[in-house]
Amino acid sequence: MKPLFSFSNTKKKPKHEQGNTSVPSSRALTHSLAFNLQHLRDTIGQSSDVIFRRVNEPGIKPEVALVYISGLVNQDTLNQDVLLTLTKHPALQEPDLSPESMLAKMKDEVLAIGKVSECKTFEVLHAMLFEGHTIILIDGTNHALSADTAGWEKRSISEPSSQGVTRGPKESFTEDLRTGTSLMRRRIKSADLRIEEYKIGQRTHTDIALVYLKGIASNKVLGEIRERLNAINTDAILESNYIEELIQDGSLTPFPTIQNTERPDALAGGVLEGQVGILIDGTPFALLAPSTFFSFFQSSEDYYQRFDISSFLRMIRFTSFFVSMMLPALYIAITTFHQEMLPTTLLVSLAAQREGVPFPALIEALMMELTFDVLREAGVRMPRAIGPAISIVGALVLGQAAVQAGLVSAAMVIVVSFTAICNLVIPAQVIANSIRLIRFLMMLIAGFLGLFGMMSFLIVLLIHMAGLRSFGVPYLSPVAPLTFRYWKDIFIRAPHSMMKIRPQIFAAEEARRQSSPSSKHANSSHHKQPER
Amino acid sequence: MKEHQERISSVQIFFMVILFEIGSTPLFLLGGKAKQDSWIAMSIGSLAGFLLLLVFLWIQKRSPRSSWMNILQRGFGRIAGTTIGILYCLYFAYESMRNVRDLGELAKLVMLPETPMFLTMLIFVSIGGYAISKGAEIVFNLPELLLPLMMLSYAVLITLLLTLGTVDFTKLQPILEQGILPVVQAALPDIVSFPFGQMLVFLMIWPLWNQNGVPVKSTLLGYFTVSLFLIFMNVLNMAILGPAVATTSQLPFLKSARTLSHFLFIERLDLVVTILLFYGLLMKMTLFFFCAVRGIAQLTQRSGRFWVIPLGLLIYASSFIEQGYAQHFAIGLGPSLKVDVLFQIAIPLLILSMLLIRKRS
Repeated sequence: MKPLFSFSNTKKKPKHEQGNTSVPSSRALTHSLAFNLQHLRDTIGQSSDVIFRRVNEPGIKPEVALVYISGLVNQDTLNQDVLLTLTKHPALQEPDLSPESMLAKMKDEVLAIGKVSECKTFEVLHAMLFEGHTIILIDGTNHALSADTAGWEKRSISEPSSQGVTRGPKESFTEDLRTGTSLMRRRIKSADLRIEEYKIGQRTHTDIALVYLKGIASNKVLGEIRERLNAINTDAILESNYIEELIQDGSLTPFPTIQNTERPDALAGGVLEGQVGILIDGTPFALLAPSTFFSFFQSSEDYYQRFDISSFLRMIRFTSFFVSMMLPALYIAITTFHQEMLPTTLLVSLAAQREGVPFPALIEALMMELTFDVLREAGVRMPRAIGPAISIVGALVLGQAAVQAGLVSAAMVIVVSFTAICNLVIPAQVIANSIRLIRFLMMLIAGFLGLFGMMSFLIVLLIHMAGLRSFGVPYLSPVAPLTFRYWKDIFIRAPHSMMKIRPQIFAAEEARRQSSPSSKHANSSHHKQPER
Repeated sequence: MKEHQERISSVQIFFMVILFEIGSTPLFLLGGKAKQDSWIAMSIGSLAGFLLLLVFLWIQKRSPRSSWMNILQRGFGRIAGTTIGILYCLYFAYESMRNVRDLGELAKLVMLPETPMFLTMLIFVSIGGYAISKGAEIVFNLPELLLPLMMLSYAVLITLLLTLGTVDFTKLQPILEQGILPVVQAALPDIVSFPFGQMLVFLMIWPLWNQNGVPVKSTLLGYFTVSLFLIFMNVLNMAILGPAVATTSQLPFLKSARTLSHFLFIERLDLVVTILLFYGLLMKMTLFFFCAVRGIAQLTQRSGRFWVIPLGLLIYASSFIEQGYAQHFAIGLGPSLKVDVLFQIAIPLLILSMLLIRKRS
């Protein structure tokens, strides 16, 4: 619920404050401490969390003041390394210090803090303040110091909640960008791992980090991503989907062209294949681009299990994808138009079930599918405590009772339930969601045009998908355009020892993998991988 | 979409040759006049088609980057060449229309007996137009997506027919009962014209290859693969149905598949066969449509997308001209084949001789 709230807040803000001076001024600092402080007060307003503190130690001349935002700074660092040193350090006790030399002394000798910088304008000052820095203003100089005292409450690293595995790392990203980059650094200990930061959103100033491997990620894709990120002109970025929608290849499509993941190992795997990771401050979900249709069927667990079972599971997923998309439509088409295709006994039993049902198959299926989507949505939004109630109402009242009342046929309940379960098999929620919509279209078409309509719709979908691109990468590669030697990790997952080549689907060039996806030790590029 | 050089790969050409040649062929039993020797007639047709294909390839090799329209214009002069070019586009459109009508009839016969044909055919033409408006690369992506699935389905069907079906190869005997002559007559020129001579359309496609020269290897490989496949299918149908039934039935392959219906779990394989026919017809229709659009676009110096809708409408409208399936069938295996000879054999040979004479002088 929280993001929703803040979303509406930021949306409304511009309207409220239209008349006020909410945009930080780029005015330069003056020599007068009193004026500087007053100007800061005026621009930031009477916010209770902004602390202004004058250091009135008798020995210290000229006068010094600190400004920081409580909650964004680490109180210990502030007290120990800033306040205490400022008041007690012998270097500052000298009489007749000029403001400039005092500033220089503080910066070089006094402050026991890693990152200290000088700022000259209020705009920079504001930016530093909101990063959690402590601003040190000295009377008589038009420079200010900003000391990095950032430290705020953050969630610790926990298990991924939506992309769990039974075997494999149990870490997930958190809302903190630094944690994210550190998790990536820990996984890929290579000098080639590059992290490029951006600030996007005129009001939220959200930090975005591109993570990629230099030399493996394609420069064309990188250039395209940078260009699109720089072109973003919005006031707020609160979640990865903002970025996803703003940078994806424009065309209207139900299919996602950018992956998202909360698993550092999945992001690392993608980066090692030449994809570019995008970490966004404020959300545990990172983006991976470019992505093909088949990327959405790869789960990081595929690489942590033996290849045979992984391959089997992949095939199950693809089957589930098609079942989930087409089963209700197929049921409608066959029972409405092509009864002769069913074995006689099955046909008889189906006909007997449908005898009392007052609706045509299409209406029956649409009703049940919509009911399921309602139940599912209720399950996501409801408070935990009433969960069991929903399952009872859903399973017993809507399922069993509806069949007994003769409103729907039992076969239809089976079809709808199986479809729903198949939808949950697909590891990437985004693509599972896109077929939830396609399924309804498919059902409508099957209701009017039977199998012919379904086949036509399927081919239209294929044509549409063949035309999609994700940052220049054809969406259906390596199937269309076909590169058969890249099929080792598409429909099956070949043993690691057999995947010696890094496909050129995302990467800049086809090359021997310097390391297989699971191991992080870089071999020199022309070494043969040890056979297992 | 951005305008960029459209290029297709060898694999795409290989796949397209196979899918294009399969096309609507399983709808009919070719070489029916030769009775149980129809497979020999197919082989002769395929060989003759191969010679024709060599002629096409030779013509293309003389100027690898110019399409058939340019070659015609260069051969016959600007005005005559353009006129013949337009005739070719109309011919492509006509061939495309034949496939549209084939599908309309198939849909009526097997899938949607009560839905009016104008609707099914409209949908069919629209799909082709949609693919073509997306560009050559998308059109040539389709075989890569469809062919593996189709081949898998064919493999399953053939395995089932061979293991569980009533295949009786003695039905192919006696071989050459009335000598070779009736067999050759069945093969020439009918089987050459349909489907093998239709390789002519690749004169519009070879210039799109992403490498220099002419994709001889992938074309010939595709041609041999599909020839063997078609001959094998012919043998299979004949061995299951026997000459009497096979030559008279409307959809021999569907009929063969239906002989499998004694087993409970595979009650009706109509579904699979229909899907195979649908996608085969679709690809063939789309490629003819594509060549018509491309040809007319080159002649008029306009973008292909401009011509998709007018030509689509033309194809759609003309598919209503024939009265019924019987007439459609009769025209397809009668007058149509004679027109084919003109476009597929006479004019290319004329161009060939012109090129040879020019080469000498």
